[in-house]
Amino acid sequence: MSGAREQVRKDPEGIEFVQASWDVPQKYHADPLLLKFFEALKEKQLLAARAPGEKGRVIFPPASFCEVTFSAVTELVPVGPTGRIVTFTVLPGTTPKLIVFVQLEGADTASAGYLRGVPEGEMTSLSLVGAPCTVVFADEPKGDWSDFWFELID
Amino acid sequence: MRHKDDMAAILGVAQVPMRTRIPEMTYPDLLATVAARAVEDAGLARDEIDGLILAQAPTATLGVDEPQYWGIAGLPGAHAFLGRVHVAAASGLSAVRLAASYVASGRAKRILVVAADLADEGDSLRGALAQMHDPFTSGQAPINAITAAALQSTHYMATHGVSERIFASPIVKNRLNGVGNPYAQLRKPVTAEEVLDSPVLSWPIKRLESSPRTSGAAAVVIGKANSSRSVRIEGFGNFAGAKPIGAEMVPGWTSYLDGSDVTQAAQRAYSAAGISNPQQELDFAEVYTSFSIFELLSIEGLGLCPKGEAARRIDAGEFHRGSRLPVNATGGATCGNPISAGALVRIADATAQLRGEAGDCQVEIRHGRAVVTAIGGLFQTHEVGVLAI
Repeated sequence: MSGAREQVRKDPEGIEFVQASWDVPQKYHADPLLLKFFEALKEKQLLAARAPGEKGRVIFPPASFCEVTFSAVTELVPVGPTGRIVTFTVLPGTTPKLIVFVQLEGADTASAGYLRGVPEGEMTSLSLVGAPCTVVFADEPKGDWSDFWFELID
Repeated sequence: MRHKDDMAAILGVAQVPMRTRIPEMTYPDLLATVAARAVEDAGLARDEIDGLILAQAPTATLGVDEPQYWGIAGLPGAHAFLGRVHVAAASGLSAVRLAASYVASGRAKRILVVAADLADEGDSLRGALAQMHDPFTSGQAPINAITAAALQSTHYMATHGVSERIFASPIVKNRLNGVGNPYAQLRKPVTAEEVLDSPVLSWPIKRLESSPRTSGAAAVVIGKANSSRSVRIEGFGNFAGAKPIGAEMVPGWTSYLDGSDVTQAAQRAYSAAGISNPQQELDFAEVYTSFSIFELLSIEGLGLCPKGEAARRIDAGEFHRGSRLPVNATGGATCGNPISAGALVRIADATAQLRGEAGDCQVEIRHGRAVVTAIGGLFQTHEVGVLAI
């Protein structure tokens, strides 16, 4: 960095600051099971990981290590498409968004996503907790999280 | 049980008035200021400190990156033993737990724990806090500190049939308590209606429910009791587990939503301290309340009332400053939340109460015992400590 004094700025309250930033580029690699999960989305299929053993939990989205049994996980199993809403929140805005936690049929973990099709006036109804829902896929899935969302079922 | 003389104790504490910004001091200046005051409060000279632990949150809240390089080498104890603890808002209590272990084992005599935040100097916390998540699984939905607490809040309201107005009762209580606290950042009371009418951040959480962005600093000296003002650390319990996103919600999503993880931490702390009936044996509690839900789950997890009843009981006057078992009698994190230093502020406040030095915020001390909690990450790391005088 060049001389800090040169970059000193006064803020609206007259306090002197040096303007700087921590722009640190980073790349990440994915869990191999998660990459298979993204591939399966293109076929409109939801895959979870099953931990080994009789009581091995079904982890969604999949992960290659079970943090409960401390064992490596390699098996993938289909889950859903129906599930139950565990809890939710509503993000305000011109188009409010409903974020739900859903436990999919066959999965032992709950996972986040968007719930669509709920009229704005009913978005804060506590009766959504425990309500059954189903996964709906985009017409042409691309292999990422935007490929599917949830809708209520009767 | 251990003999009282073998226990580690809090010998000295210090904090500075919490504010949005503290432009007259740099990060190292803040650390040095509270360090010197805590050592003085302990009745010690700086060369009697033989260890230093820096507690910190994500670096964006500190206002500096990699804080250990920013001039802490000159602080008391740093030359003998230096440690750094980063479990977000639980760091202060976690660091005190480690310091107490070193002192109890005899490996150190007196350790200084110190933390500071200059929260206004970053543009936004969001970018820094986003680094806490796996970029692949976090693509499901925007889960951050506010939405995670909102998901817990909705679950609590639905499970226990609690209205939004009753749900705001911890905030109304804490803001009233903060009026009497000279260190509090927010010292004006609010009504439940004002909380409900403030803008929704992530329903059901509103702006006035969320703790403010706070700069501050605090320090605590741990050693063997050296005066009648020393506060013994009778027991600690911690639990790290649930992470509210995707498959990483371990051991299951229930612990994140129903507070069973804070219950586990509390049971460990009570077991170490020999507490069997917390409602009868404690004078007060200082619990982490960056949002209403944290206080409710903490009160219930600490066994201070049955599950699902905390909000209604606060609304009915329980846990207020003049009640039998006050919670956050100084206003807590609701009235000022420096994320790195916050847990040390809870300890400083609890120490002042037990010593009878809490001024306008003083509660009645009958048993000489209190409990302090901290929560770090998105409800991921829980720390519970039992303090006694």
